[in-house]
Amino acid sequence: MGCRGTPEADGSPKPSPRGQLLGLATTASIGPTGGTITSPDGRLTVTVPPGALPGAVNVTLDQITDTAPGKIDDVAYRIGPADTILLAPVTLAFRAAAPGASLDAFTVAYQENQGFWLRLREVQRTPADGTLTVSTTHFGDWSIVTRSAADLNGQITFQSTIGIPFSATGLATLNVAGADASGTWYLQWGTLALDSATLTSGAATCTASPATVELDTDIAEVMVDPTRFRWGTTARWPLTCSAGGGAAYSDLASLFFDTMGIYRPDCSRGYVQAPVITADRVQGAYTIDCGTAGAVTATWDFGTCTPGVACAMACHDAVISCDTGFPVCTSTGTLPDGTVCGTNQVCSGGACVSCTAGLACTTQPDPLCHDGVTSCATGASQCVNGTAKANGTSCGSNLVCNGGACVSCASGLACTTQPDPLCHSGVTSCATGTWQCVNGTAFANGTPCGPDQVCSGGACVSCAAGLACTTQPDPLCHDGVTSCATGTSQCVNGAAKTNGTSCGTDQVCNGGTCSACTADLVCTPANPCHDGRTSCSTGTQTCTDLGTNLPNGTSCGAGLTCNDGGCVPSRNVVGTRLVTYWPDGAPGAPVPAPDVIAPPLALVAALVPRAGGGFDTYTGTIDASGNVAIANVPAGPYLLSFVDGNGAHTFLETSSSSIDLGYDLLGRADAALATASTLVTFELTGLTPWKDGDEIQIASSNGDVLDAPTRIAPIAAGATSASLVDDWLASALGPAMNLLAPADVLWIHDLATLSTTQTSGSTTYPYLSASAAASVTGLAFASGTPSTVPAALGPPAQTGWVTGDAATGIDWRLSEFEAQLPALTGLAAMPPGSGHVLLVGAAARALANPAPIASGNPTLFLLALDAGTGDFATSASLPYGSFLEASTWSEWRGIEFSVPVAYLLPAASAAFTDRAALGRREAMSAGLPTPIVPTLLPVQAPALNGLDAFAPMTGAGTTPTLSWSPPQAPSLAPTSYTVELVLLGTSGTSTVATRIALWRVASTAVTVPAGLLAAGGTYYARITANWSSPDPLVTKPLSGEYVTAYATTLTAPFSP
Amino acid sequence: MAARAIASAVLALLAGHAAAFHSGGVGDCEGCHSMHGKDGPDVPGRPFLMSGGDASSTCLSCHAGMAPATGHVFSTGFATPPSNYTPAGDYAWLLRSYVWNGPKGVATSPGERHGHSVVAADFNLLGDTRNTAAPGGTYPSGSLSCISCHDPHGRYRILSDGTFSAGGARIVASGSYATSTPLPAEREAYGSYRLLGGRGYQPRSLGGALSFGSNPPVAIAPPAYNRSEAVSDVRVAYGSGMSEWCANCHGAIHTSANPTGPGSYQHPSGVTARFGQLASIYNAFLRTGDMGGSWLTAYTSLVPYEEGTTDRSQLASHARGDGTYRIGPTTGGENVMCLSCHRAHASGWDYGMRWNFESEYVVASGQWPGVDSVGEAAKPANAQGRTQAETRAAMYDRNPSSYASFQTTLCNKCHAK
Repeated sequence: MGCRGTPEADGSPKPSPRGQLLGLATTASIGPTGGTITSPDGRLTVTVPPGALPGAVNVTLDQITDTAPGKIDDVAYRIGPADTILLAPVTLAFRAAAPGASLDAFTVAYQENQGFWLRLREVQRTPADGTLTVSTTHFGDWSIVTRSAADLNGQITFQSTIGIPFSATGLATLNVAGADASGTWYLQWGTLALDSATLTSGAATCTASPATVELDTDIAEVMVDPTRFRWGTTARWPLTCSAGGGAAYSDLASLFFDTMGIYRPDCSRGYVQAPVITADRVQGAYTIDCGTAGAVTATWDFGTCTPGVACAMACHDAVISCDTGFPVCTSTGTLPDGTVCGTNQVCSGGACVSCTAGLACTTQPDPLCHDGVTSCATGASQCVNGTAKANGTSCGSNLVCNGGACVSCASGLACTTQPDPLCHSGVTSCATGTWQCVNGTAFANGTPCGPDQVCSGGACVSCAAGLACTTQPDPLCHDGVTSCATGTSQCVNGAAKTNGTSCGTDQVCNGGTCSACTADLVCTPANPCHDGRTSCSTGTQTCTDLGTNLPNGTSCGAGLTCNDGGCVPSRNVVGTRLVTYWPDGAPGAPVPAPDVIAPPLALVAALVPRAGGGFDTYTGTIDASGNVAIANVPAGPYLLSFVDGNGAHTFLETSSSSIDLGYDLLGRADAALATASTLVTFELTGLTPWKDGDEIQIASSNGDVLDAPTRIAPIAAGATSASLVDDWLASALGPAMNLLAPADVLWIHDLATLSTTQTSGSTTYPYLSASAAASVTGLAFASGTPSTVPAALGPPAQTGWVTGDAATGIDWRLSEFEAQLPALTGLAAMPPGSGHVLLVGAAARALANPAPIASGNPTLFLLALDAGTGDFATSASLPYGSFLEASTWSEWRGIEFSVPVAYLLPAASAAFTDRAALGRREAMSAGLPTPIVPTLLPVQAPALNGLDAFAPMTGAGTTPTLSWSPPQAPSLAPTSYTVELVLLGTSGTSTVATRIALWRVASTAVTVPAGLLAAGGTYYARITANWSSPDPLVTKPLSGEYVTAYATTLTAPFSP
Repeated sequence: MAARAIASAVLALLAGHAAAFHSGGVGDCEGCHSMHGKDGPDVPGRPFLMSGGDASSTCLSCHAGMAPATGHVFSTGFATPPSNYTPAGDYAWLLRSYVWNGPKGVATSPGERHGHSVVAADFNLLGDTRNTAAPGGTYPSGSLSCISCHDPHGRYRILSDGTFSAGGARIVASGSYATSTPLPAEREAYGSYRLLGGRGYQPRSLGGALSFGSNPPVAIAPPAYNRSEAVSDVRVAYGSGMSEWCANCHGAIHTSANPTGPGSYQHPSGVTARFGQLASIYNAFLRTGDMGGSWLTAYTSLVPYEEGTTDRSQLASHARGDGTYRIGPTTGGENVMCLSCHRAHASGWDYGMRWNFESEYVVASGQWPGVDSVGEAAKPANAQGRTQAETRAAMYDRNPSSYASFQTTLCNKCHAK
């Protein structure tokens, strides 16, 4: 440019004028069968194939002036008629050069309707005859032009969703049309085909016809500074559409695309990725995004093509051909067979076939002395002789390979000329392909081959064994010693060190092995009730028994506890400490005893006899609910130590795991003692005329009251009425009494003195017998408030008989009782004051165990005889008044012989007298046993520490053992024994006694636990044999007791 | 309605001496200002004693009319499409808005978008409601009027040495026509092209510091230019400086620095946007699919260009109202200018474009697109709410057969894509 007025002079893309006829023309009529026509100069031959023309056409071929850029001469060709419709491509063959000359520099151009000469993309070059052949579907103006190596060809694609969606693919050519400083200019042309001729437009289905369109010739530019590729195109596909089978209508699918913003300028646009823009390749992907209206995405990949450049084609010599417009590697000849054309591929007849050389195979010509290997040298796989097998390779019996040949040779025979006879055997060898005596098997390492020499790996080497050394593998638990066993001197483990030798922290040697072992750890020895510590002295960790007992009660297994160093079966002793009140009627529900609720609290423990004497104490607990528990008490008998709230200490011999430390009390639970002087005046009438010795007794079961006020307030003789005052705070029997409530029944009865004589003799014997009685209710005593109780006594409702019936006389064998004097007291002579009692009493309960503890039992009959009286017998029974209601009261008869025993401490002038006793009881009923004799006799041979307990003793120790023998026949067998330990002391000038402990046992010995006896004290013991059924020792030892036979022996005093 | 009635009355009063007005310089004061009610009733409240309700209304009081006539830039009456075909366009397009159902949904082409939305209340031109300032600049759109560009007092002139001045030598002729060539004599001057303001110009009514930095362009218009282009084009010979002058208000438009439309369409324009090789394309391009054109007949007034010269004689020889000079760019030194694509006043298309660059086809199925067309031409994407007649009027009454049956955007006049 830059030349005013002559813009056509430059090479910019612009149309060229049509060529002018040169007057040389050829005409041929060509019909449907096809034909050919050749230009007058013979350079162009047009071949019309059959079917290309529907009818005969006078085809003209004119030579015209050539206006094509790059023309090679001034002649072009016009094939006419120009508007001929060709139904099939025709062939144009241009002779462009002499036969054999290269045609790469030439191509064919066509002048399109705008006047642009377009260089065709597909041109078949046939150097052999120097022709360029193209295929076309139209006539027109054609020229041979210089080929441009910068022309670009490539594929283009479009995806459009704007309007009617479609995708299309085509081929485009960019013919270089000019260049200046701003860049290179191209004529852009090509074809574009819908990927599918069927399109969808909303509800309509459309068919494009044609589906392939030629693109208008446009201008494309590759610009510089900045580098950019500017191109665009439009295309239209006429559509025939129909919606839902409706009428067909015409529509149009349109493509608008450019990279500059010419089309759809209001849409965003840009490259999908960085484009490639070089002289020989232009590639990119570009999207015009119109948002909801859709988008157009185009891709292109244009490239140049340079013919004649060598290229790779398997098994061929090849060069690039641009006949298609794109680089196509084209063969110019085949490579020799066997030429490698790839991994495990070789050429064979110009084809690259699979063939793997170098593989092992077996069909080689000489399989004896050659390996087989595949060869591809011929283009096919063959098995050939490969590497010669190693000399000496066996190739038959006594045959070996030697240099690839199979020769004779015997191997493996013994021989003697081997090189090393000291450490090798000799053997023939064919290893080299020939016979040789060679070293055979090496002697074992360590084989002696001379003084202090041994074979080592077939060599004779120096080596001294048995020397001390220090580098043995295990210096910790082995001594080191040299060894030549392996052929070389080695320091090996020698003798193992003594077991138990330390070989590290918490490690000791054991059989030559350093093993983990920790000493002085607490452990459990064989006796789990001994303290143990680990020991490593033997090389293993053992538990040494230190001989120290573990604390009693320490668990030593399931159901086992330690006791005195022994692991014994144990259990938890449980029980209760409850009190049951017995009012009239049924007993109440047990409630916790007062001494488990408030201090001073009761205490409990199990004393387990120790094998060597003494006891092991297992202290228990009693909670406020009265639950007793003593844990881990060894199985077997033990002594239950119980201290009640009053400090009374009781030892109960038992082996039971369940104990009942409860007791029963007669009367109402809410009965309350008088706490102040409460004078009750009984205004009595109906008395039996009073005699000295008579007695008034008052008794209430519901109030648990019993007194005999006349013992301190006698009634005048002869009186039949009396005003009798009784202080409820200080009763005649001693303790305060419960205050009566309105519901309490108070019995008042008169024991009148009667007399009797024996069957033989005239001596009269007085006795007391209930003769009158009255009951009073509605009393409401208040502590400190005087009351008056009028009572008119009357005769008892019934008469009882002391032998059970009126007819049976009394046969009371007093002598048999008295015969037990020595057993009871150790005395030979009956001391003064000894006597007998025959008594009928009443208990406000059934005569069974357990029995409530009562303030006392009212007396209905009493006959007392001095010892020495002799046996006593009457002809008839003696009466008593039986007035108590049977629903509450039970009458019983008791017989007792007692002997006073006096204890006088040196510091006192007055002795304390206790009584040894022997008695029996039975419920009143007809047919009571007679004669009356003792049923249970005293224990025999009471002993203290094995010595006669009837003899005073000092130095008995603080834990003496008191023992005895069971009563002699015909005594009943005692069901239990009661041992009471009594401390003697002084009060003023009098000797007084205090019971400090009581045992209830079934055995015949008790050992006093430590702590009870004090040095300097004086004690004696009461040993009572009991017979009860059942004996409450087993069931409820602290409850009241209805004992039916007893015998109490008193020991002499003793001191620890 | 009241404003339009007044305007009609003013038009009637001035019709008699309109042709005598403007001769490159200031005209009669009474032409625009009502001095003591001399030429009409005093209308209280009008600024600067203008005879119209505002500056543009005052201008249009003379420059509006039904028939194409020299000086008419606004077609009165709404029944027919705007019929004034001045190169700068007919302001009546500002009153025509279109709505259609486009591919993105409802689309609009509001009248105010069809060109410079001058405020001429007497003619129902109410200004730009979308832009508060000139696109690419800061000139307040509410103050846009005829005198924003044209100096009503015609002070800018071309001196004998070809330079511009706002005063000095007496203006002896309009500078817009071939009669004003080559240059004025000493101590004489020609008026600037179309009374356009030059460096330092700013309407007195406009506050702020918005005075022009560039002088008016050099161009020559043919004496008869307001006519149908059905047969031939009217050729204004644009020489140079147009884009630079437009930049007085739109300095950054179509550049990456555009403050009012960042990232919006960019295109080179002005003295640096020389045609180069594009000249050949311009010359070859006749219509879509036909680049067999010749430089001898390449020119189209739908894609004018600046010849890259201030040679008034050359321009005068090229400015034709009869279509007798159709030679296209010949040197490559020609350049793109704003008016290559836009009309100075208004057009039937958005942004005052000379053709509908937003439709898929400028001509479809051989027809001007329109709601009353058939086939592809009737598609909303092409018709965009216009009637065929309106499209034809917007294309200055050209025959659609002048283009390809499916004519694509005229950007291809230069780009052939």
